[in-house]
Amino acid sequence: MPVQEKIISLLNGCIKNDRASQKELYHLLADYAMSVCYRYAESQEEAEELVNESFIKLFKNIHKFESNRYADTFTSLKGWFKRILINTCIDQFRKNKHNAMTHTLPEEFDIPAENQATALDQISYKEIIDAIRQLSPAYRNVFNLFVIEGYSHDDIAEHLGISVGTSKSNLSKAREKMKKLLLQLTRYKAYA
Amino acid sequence: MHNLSDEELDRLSREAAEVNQTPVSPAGWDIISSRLDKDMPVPYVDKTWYLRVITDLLLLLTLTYLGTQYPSVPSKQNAIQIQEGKVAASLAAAEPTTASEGINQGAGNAPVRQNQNDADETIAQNTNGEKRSTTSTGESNHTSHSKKEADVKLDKTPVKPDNRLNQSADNKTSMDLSKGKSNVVDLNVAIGDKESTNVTRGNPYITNEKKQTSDNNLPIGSNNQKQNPAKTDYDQPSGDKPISAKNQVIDSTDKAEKPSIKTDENAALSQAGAKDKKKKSKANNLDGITKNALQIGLTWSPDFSRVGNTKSVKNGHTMGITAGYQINRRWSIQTAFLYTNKYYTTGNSYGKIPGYSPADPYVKIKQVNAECFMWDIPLNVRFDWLVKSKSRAFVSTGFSSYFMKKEDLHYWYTHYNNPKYKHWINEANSNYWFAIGNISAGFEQFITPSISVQVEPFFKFPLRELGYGQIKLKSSGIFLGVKYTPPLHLSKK
Repeated sequence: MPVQEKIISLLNGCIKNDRASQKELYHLLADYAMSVCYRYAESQEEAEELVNESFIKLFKNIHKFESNRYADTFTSLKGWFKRILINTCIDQFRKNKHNAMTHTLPEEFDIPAENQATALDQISYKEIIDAIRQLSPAYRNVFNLFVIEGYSHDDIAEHLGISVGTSKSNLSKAREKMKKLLLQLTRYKAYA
Repeated sequence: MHNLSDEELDRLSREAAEVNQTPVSPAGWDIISSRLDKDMPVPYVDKTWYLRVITDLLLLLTLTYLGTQYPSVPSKQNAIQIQEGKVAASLAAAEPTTASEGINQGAGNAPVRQNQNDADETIAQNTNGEKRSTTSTGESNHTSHSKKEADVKLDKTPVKPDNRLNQSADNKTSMDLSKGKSNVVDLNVAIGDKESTNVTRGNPYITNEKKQTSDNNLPIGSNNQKQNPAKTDYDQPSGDKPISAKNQVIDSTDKAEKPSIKTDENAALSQAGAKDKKKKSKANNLDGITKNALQIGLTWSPDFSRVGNTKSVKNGHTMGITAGYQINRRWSIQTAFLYTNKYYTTGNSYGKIPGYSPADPYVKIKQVNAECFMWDIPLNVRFDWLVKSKSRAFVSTGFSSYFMKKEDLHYWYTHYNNPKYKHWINEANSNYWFAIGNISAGFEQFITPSISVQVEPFFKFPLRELGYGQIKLKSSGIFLGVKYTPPLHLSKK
């Protein structure tokens, strides 16, 4: 069965609340969902909880997805699901907002200047993701939304319930922290 | 590295986000599935319902068939139908009967209906080989067609000598069909229903019958009645119906025949007595099935267990052997040795998770799916509120002791708000004496004097907590069983 037809068949099964179709769709999208939520979550467990919550929302609202609107149903489904994932992550951030701004980076992240010229290509993608996850939630969310998801500051301000200025400020600070974190990583690798 | 621009950082971050894959937990779907079951429950569809329906139908058909084969006293209606069936069969075979024609000729201008009745009577005798015919042409509607056929054939059939006619001739009354009293006597003697002549003594209807017969008034209905006594007497030896009263006419009107009839009466009485004894013996045998009798049997039931109001995702089953002891006509003690596996699902009511303290406030159980295997030994008292010769309806109550052999547990829980999953098998045996209360009601049908089948819906409610999780487990189901009463324990009178 072609992928397109299979996806549509799975979607129809999910609309009918068929567990087998839901399970198959879950396995198709689970890793993708995890890769998104992992960047927003503080821990692996929290990421899994976000993924689960997102899938529940997906299955509950699957009938709202217009499968015939785009030629590539699976890609459009992933895009639609990504919005669910991000919204779920943002909702989680809002719930824990009182803790969001209290997070500060530890002192060891102050990088010595003499080690700043180490090789950047020694850093893996996973380490970059881990660096993102080490940002405080406020910085992390703005960085994720602006840099990776492509949201504007207006959208970010609206979603996170902050001002546009705060969004820009958080982004700037997030970038600085990211650079420091990456420098820290390269320094460790240089000494290794 | 110090010169890493914002654009370069953004590009690296996007690439990392696109490429990086983080695997999910294998238990992820189980958690989602359980949440979906709560939030978006799938209507329960029992895929084996048709098998159960077929089984029930087969059981019902078997019971019905065996019920018809069961040796019991036939009712009046059944006896009539049986005899009529034989008559119809004989008519269909177009067996010509000479007796009725002989009578017909003897009667001269006797009405057609008379011939028909006689023909029916004779055919019944010829085909059954019994003198005591129960054929009733006047009563049966569905045999009228066959009777018409018989009339046509009988009219065309040449006269042949017949033993029964000879017997009638010996009584010197056979030719006088058109005359009331003699006709009655002739018919009764001719059909040889000697039993019927003595069991209706003292019938108050005799006077009326005498009047009817003495007036030579031989209407069709009256004639029809003449042939009924045999049937009636067969069915109800002590009956007092007008039909039987006609036999009394024999005694009161034809005194010349009285001695011989009396002799026949004695024989008939002894025969009737023997038959009564036979019937009583059968009834006693039926009673003896359950009176002071040990019973053993096999039983099976689906098991629908639940903790609280949480429905289990699957159904278990129970099977084993049963035993019972009948204390008296209505009361008995029942026990069994049942192996059962039960499925149940609980929410946060489940007590504990292995590896965590039950008092740990950071452990929150979301769901537990469990399958447990155990022996169930019930001890019940049964009261038969409806006792018939072949069936009984009853209620039962008592206690069950559970002997847990194995618990297969699946936990979904959170620890410090992190979702967790754990699978654990508890094989530590634990005994729970009289931990469950039993209530049931049912119906038992005997298919032979020593074998019966039984249907018994039941409900088991907890009297104490069970298992590793200290749960209050409720169960229900319907026992389908076969019981056997060893012949040695039949209490025949």
